[in-house]
Amino acid sequence: MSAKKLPRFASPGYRKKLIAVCLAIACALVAVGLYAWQSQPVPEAGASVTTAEGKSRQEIQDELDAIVRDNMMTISVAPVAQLQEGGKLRVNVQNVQDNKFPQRFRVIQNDETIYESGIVETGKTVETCPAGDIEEGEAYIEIQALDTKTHDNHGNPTRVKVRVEQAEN
Amino acid sequence: MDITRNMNGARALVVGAGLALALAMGAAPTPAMAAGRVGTTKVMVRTEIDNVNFKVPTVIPFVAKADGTLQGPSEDATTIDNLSAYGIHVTNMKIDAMNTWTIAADAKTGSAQNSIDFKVGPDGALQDASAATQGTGIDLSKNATFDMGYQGIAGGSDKIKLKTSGNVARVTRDIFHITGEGDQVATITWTVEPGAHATA
Repeated sequence: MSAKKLPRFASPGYRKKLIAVCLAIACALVAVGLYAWQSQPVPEAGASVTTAEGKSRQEIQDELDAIVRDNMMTISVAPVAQLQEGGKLRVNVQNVQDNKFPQRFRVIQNDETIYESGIVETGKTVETCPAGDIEEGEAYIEIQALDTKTHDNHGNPTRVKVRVEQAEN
Repeated sequence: MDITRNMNGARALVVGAGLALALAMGAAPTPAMAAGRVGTTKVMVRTEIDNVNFKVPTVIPFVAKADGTLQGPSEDATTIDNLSAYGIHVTNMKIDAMNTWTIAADAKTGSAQNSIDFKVGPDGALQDASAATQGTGIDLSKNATFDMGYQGIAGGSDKIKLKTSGNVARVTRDIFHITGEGDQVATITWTVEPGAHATA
């Protein structure tokens, strides 16, 4: 009795080849998608100017509005910076999860930078930083958005006026 | 940095102010009090302010028309939004020119190349960029139009809408061939403080 020959498309070897081809196509599609995504123009930082020949006023307006909306950023800091034991200053700088940009911040008093942070990724909080020579009174926490890839400054910085106080024991 | 921890994103957006209500209750009335002694009950409240939260535009792009007029984003898109449970206000606007641009009071006068003038601010209170380049910038601490009420306040006053206008003149920089990126002309630094504008 001879074994019945399987159809070609049902043979194990053919199935493996078919799966491999499908995976290759899927990988190619993902690669093309990533390229297209990375090729999107990145808006320049701060206030910028360009020309837009051949577009209607409404088309230009829609593009400008989209750029602004894509570059909004939430700032979240403690309005009262507490001087704590051990030379720490509680600033509680939060780069909220919904933000699109990493942040860097500076603590400024009397036009002098008391502390400059490293990169604060989205979803992270810096609760305290070294107090340095900061004194009770008025100070500023300046938040700067960073480019997600290069970590260069991106766009306008924002300052929050805070009050430095000794923490209650 | 000393402490870095993960944060619940949705919750982190609206931390706002915590309100601690402390009731220092006096002793229950005794027969002696009922007979004429006065008992007092202190009701105290204080804020335990956690983070101040607000949203700002990091980029304000302009498009230059052939006649030099600038078209900016709409005021509905260009907003500073208060996300806190108490009011905040903008106290200062400082502008620094970038990339050899000259920020002038009127770009069309004078002789400087790559000259630009622009204004930004709430309707009726647009601030001149040229003035904001001087010294420490424009003091807005007493300007009520830069106040933002608590998040969700009736009438939509928990945000300020920023209008823009301006002109360029004698442009030698190649802004025509710059596509979506634009040519950076300035950096605007907003300073924000909890509370309303100063009245004194």
